[in-house]
Amino acid sequence: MKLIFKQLLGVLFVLLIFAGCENKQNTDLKIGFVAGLSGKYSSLGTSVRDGFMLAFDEINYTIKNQKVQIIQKDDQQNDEKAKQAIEYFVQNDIKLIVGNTTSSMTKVTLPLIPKDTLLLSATASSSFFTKKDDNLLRIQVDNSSKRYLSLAQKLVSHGYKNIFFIYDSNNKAYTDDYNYIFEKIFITQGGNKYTKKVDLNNKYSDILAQLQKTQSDMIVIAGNSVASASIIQYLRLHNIDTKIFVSGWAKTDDFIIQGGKAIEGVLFSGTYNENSQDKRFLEFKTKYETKYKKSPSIFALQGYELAQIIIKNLRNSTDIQTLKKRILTIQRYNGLQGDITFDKYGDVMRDFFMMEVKNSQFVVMDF
Amino acid sequence: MHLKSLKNNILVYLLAFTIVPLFLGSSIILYNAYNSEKKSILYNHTQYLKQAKAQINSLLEDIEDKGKYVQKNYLRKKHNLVIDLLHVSKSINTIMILNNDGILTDFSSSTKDKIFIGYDYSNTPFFKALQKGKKNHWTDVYLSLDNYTPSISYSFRIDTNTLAVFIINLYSLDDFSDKFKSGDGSSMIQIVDKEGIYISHLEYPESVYQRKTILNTKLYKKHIKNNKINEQIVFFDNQKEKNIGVYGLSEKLHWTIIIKEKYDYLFKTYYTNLWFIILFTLLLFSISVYFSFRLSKSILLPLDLLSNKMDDIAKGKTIEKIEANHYSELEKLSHNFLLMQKKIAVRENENRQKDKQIYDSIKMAQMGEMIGNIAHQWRQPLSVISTAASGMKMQKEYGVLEDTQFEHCCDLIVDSTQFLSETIETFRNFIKDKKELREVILQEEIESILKIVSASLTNNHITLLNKIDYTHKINLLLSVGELSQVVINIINNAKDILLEKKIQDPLIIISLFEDKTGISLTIEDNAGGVPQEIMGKIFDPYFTTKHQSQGTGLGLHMSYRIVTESLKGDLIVENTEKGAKFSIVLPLK
Repeated sequence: MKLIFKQLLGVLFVLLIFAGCENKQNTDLKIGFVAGLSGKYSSLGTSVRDGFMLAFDEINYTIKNQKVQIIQKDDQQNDEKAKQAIEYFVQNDIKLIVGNTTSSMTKVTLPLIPKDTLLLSATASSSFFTKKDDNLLRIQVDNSSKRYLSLAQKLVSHGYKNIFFIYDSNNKAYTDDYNYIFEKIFITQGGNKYTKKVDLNNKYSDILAQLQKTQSDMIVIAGNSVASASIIQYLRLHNIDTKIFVSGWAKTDDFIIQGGKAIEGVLFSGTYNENSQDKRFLEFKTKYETKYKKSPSIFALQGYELAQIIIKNLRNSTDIQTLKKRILTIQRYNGLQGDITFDKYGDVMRDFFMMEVKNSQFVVMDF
Repeated sequence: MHLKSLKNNILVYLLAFTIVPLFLGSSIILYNAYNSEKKSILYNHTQYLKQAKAQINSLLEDIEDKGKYVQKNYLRKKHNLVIDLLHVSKSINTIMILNNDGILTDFSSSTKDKIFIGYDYSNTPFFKALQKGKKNHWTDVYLSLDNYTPSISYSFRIDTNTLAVFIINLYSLDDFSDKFKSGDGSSMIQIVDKEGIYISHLEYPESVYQRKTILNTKLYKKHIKNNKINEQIVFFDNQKEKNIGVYGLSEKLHWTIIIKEKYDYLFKTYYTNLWFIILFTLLLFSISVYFSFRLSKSILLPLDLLSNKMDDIAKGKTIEKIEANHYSELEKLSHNFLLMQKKIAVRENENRQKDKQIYDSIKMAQMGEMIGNIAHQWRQPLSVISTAASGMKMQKEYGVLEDTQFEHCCDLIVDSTQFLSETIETFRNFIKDKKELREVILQEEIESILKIVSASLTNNHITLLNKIDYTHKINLLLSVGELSQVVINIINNAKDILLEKKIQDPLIIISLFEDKTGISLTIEDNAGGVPQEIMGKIFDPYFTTKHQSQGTGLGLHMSYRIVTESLKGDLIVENTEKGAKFSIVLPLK
C-alpha cells in the first residue's frame, strides 16, 4: 500500500516539476541596439543594424548556450529619443549597448551610460571621443588630425584651396570636426579659410545663392547619404561643376541611387573599399547579399565587424564588466578588410585612401 | 518464487480501472476540443487571408488602372493630369514623369521640398527596370528621397521617351491593415515584400519605419523559410508573445501576408474549460481513489480475517465461529471453512482409530511370533524334563532307580526349569522395555536378541552365521526393545522366505561394524533377493508378498519408521549375489 502511495506521489511530483519548468524562462543575454533607424538618417542606422544582425544570425543568436536578445531602439537622430532609448536600456538592466551610429547621438547618450555599462559604436567618428578613457569603444577610425592632415595635403596639392563647406547641423558632433579641426589643418597646409559654411538643412536655393557669391574651388559636404545626394543633384542642376568632396557618413547605396549621374566624380576618403577582393570581405558580401538582396554598405560591414568582436569576446566570458578590458587586451582583430587595431583608449587605427564615384560605384583612386 | 500481494494487486487494478479511463477520457475530450478550436481558427484565418489577398490585389490594380489612365492621357493633359490625379489618390504620395535618361521632367508631390525638375533618377531601381524593357515595374521597399520614408513605387512607360513613377507611401496601407483587427483590438495582419522588408505592421509600426526585415524573426526561420503556406502556424513575436495564424503569398507582387492573432486570447475560453475539466478530473480522481480504498478495504478486511482464522486452524486451534460479513461469497467461504474444519476433525478421529487397530494387529502379530519363539525355546527343555521324569518313574517302577541316576535326572529337570525361567524373563524384558532408553553394549544386546530367534532357526535347519565383532565393544544409548523388534522382524522375514523358497543350506548372516559414518548392523540371507520391481515398495504400509493369512504388510513399514524416526538412523535394503541384505545404520551418538 505504501508503495502505491509513493508511486502516486512520484507521478504528482514529476507533473509539478514539468509544470514548474514550463514557466521557467532562461535568462537571455540582452544587448541594446540604438541607432537612427527611421527617417532621413536611417540609411546609416539600418545598414549598421543589418550587418550587426547578420553576424548574430550566423550563430543563431546563441553564445555559450545562452540566447542573445537584441533589443532595437530608434533614436531618429533626435536627442530626446536617444536619451529615452538609453533610459530604457538602463531601466531594463542592459549592460551592453551598441550605438549610436552618428557622433552627435553618441555624444548625447555617452554621459547617460552608467559606469557598469559599455557603449560600443561601429560608426561614431567624432574626435570628441578620441583619447578618452571612458566606457565607449568604437571600431570607426576617428576624425583625427593625422587623418585630416593627409586629406588636407592631398586637396592642397591638387590645387583646391577655397572650400565651400556644407554641413548637417543635426549631427554637429561629427560635422564640427570638419567645421573646425579640418579647416584649421587645411589652413596650415596652405589652404584658405572656408569661403562659407552653410547648413544643409537650409533651403537649397539659399545654399546655391551663398555658393555663387564665393570663389570656391571645392565643396565639402558633411551630411548623410540622401541629403548629400539631393544637394549635389541640385547644385549640378544649377550648373555648379565645382569638385565635391563628401564625408564618409554619406557613403551608402542610397547615395548612389539618389544621386544619379550628378554624383559622378564626387570624392570620398575612407578606410573601406566596396570593391575589395579580400576573401573575408567577399564571403561577407555574399552572405549579406543572399540575405538582404542588396549590396552591403561600409556601415553594414562595420556593424558586422563590431558584432564579430563582441561575439569573439563573449564566447570567452559573458561578463560585461570586464568586456572592454578583454577587447583591448586582444588589441588586434581580423577585420573584413585588414586588421582592426585598438589603442589603449579603445580608438581604432586604420589606413586611409581616397575614393571617387565612377560609373555609379565607389572606386579607389590614386589621388 | 516471490509472491505478489493480493491486496496490493486488487488496489492497483481498482485504481487503474478508475483513474486510467478517467484520464484517458478527459485527455481525449481536451485533445478533441483543442483540435476543433484550432480548425475553427484556421478556417477563420484562411478566410481573412483570402480577403486580404483580394483587397491587396484590388489596391494594386487600382494603382495600375490609374497608371493606364496616365499612360493614355498624360501627353494630352500634361501637368494638370498629375496634379488632379494626386488629389484623388490617397495612396499615391508623388507622381514623377521622367524622360528616357531618367531626368525628372514633371512631378506632383505632397512633399515638394526635396524634388526638383531636372533631378537624375537614372540609378533608381524603377528606372533601371524599365530600361531593361519592362513595361511596368513594382519596386520593393526603399527609402524615398522626397519624404525620407519607406516607400514602394509603380513605374511604367507612357511612350518610348517618357516614363511615369507613382511613389506610394507605405503609411497609406495602414488604413487597409486597420480593417483587420482581432477581438482584443490588436492588428491581425502583417505584410512584407518579397525581400522580407515590412510593408505594413500596425502592431509594431516601427518595423515599417525602420525598414526591418522579417528574415531575422522566428516566424520566418521556423515557418516561412520552410514554406508552410496556408498551414496553421504558431510562433512567438519579438515581444515573446505567442501567436497563431496562417500566411500566404499575394499573387501579384509575391508579398507575404500574415494573418495572426494572440494565441492566449483565442484560447481563453478553451483554457477556462481546460482548467474546469482539470479540476473536475482531479475531483473525480480524488473520489475514485477514495472509493477504491474503501472498496478494497471492505473486501480485504474479511479476507484478512479469514486468512488469520486459517492460520489458527493450521496451528491446530479449533475455530468455533468466523465473524459475519456482508458478502455472501465470503460468508459461504467462511461457512465452508468451518465445515471443512469439522470434517478434518472427524477424519483425524477415524485415522486415530485406524492407527490403534494397526497397532493392535502388529502387537498381535508380534505376540504370535513371540509365542512361536517361546514354543521353539521350550520344546527342548520340556522334552528333557519329560524324558527325565518319565525315565525316573519307569526306573522306580522297576526298582532300578539308582540315587546317582535320580540326582542326575533331578539336576536335568532343575537346569531345564531354570532355563525355562530365564527364557520367560528374556521375553518379558523384550516386551516390557520397548521404549526405554538405556546405555548398553550393542554386541550384548544383539546376542540376547539372537537367543530369542536361534531356536526357531535351528528347528527349521537354518544356519545363523554370527559375524559380529566382539573385540571392540560399542556403547550406545538406545531403546533395546525397539531395536529387538526390528532385528527379529527382519530375521523372521528372512526365515519365512528361506522356508518358502525351500532354499538348500539356508543361511542368515548377521554382522556388526562401526566406521566414521555410523554403526551398521546387517542381516543378509541367501534367499535370492528382493525382486527389483518391488524393491521401492517394501517399506510401504500394507505391502506384503506373503499370503494374506500370514502377513499384515506392516512389519517392514513399522521397522522402517522405528529406525528412521525413533532411532534416528536409516534402514537400507539391497540385493547381494545370493540374497537380500538389510542394513540398520545407526548414528554414532
